[in-house]
Amino acid sequence: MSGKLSLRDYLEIETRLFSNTRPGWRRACAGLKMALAAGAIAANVLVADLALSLILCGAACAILIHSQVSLRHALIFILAPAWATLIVMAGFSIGFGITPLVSIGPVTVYREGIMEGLGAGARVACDMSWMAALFLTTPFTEQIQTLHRIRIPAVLVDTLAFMYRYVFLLWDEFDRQMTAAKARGGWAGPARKMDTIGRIVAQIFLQAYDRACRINFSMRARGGA
Amino acid sequence: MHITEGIITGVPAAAYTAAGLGLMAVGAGRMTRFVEGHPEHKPLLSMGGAFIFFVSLVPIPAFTGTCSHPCGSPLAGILLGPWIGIALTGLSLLLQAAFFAHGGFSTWGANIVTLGVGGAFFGWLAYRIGRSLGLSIRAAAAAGGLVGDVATYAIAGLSLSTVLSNSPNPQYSWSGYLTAIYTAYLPTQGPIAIGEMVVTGLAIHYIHQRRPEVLESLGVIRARPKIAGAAALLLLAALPLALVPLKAHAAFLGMDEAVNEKLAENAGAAPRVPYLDTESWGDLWNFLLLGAGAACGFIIGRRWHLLFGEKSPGKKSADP
Repeated sequence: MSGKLSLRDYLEIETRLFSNTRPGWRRACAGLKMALAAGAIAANVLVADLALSLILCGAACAILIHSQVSLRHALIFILAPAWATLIVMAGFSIGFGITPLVSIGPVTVYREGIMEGLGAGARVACDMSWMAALFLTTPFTEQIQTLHRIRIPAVLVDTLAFMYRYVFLLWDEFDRQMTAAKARGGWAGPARKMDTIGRIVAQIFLQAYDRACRINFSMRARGGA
Repeated sequence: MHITEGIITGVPAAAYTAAGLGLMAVGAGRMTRFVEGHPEHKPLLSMGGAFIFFVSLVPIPAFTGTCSHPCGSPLAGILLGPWIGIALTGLSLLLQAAFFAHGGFSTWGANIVTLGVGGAFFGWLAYRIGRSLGLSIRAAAAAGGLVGDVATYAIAGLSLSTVLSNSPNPQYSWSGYLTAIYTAYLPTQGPIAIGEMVVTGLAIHYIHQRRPEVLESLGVIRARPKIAGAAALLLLAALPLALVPLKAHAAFLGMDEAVNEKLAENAGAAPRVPYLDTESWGDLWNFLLLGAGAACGFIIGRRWHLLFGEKSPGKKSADP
């Protein structure tokens, strides 16, 4: 999915999460893990200090190692925003500062800008490592139960739970239809591509609508609200 | 189009998060009302959220052979209404920040403001205005897609330039950052906005072509769009009339000065300062008149259905 995490990755992660052996941090209560992750991210964002970001990032990495999380999964989480972060770091290094280091044509790189960029990079790494420490050690269903317990509006929590369940399904359908459209020549030229995407998006929405009706019927048939 | 993680920190991040939470709270209220009115459509909200998530990952061909992803929120706003669109955008951004690092937690609130308000609200508004003016569904939806995207970029540029110009050691002023950001957006986001315009227009058109009853049940299509169109035209026609009193104001004395005051002077009653000289307080009477007009307009707008009948249940909650 988007060249990053795929449906298969998530199925693999879920299989590991629900396995009988739950080493290290995986045994801890979901509420505690969510509170710690939220606290770490809030401190990281509000204080915005390079040293603090690195310390918090190190703590999250220690948790990941202690929980025997797959290195590939952890790296996917932490490195997912790498390209966007590199652009931010480059923008900061030329957009801020008073002490010039290097000038290439009209572009000047500043010392303070580089530090700002490094700080931004460390903040991103910290946030994503805490996300990895939470999502790679806690089943999503347990997180949803915790959100219910802390009285987040039920409509939001239920919607979030269903979204998590169905987003991969929708993507899978899109992928299948896209492959079929490409095979039929629907990907030739920008105008044809746009038309194909419009048709597929409409089809996916209608399928989602029909699926929502079927889910409602099946829930009511089982006595659900 | 997401504001990247790591850019907004400290108080601005907290303020944007608070604004995002406020928008989500209103959206959650609308979602609850939607579910109460249509329990059978509850899973549709989740599907709508998953749909936004999915649409914002769909590759749209951009310039020089590259591709980017659309916002998705204008389409969601048109299909499910602006507030539900904003709330679903917020949930979608949460999952995207957690799993794909699209946006981020520090920029979650800012992204709700840009993608939710800019995309879902302005996209929905442009679609509604387009339909009111008698545009076809395809053209109105395309306008919604374009305006939603442009509003998203405009708000993102304003947010970023405000934050960056207040950072330590800024290289540019607020307007400098704004110009730099908009200049950078033009070649990168411009083609995407055009792409989203086309895709949104086509998607709504194909949904309408295949299953118009779905759009009717969600309130995307209204039975009598020409009434609103006529109202908009009347308002436009009335605008020049509003300018006439401004020109005539200097020459027109008013009933009191022109008639009553002269009659009183002829009768020997000289004018004196009133006990409550409201004229010295400014234009109090016009202010009260405008206030009363606004109050009456609000009451009539709120109780519109009592005057002109109920809308069908399908349209009431989906299209607030």
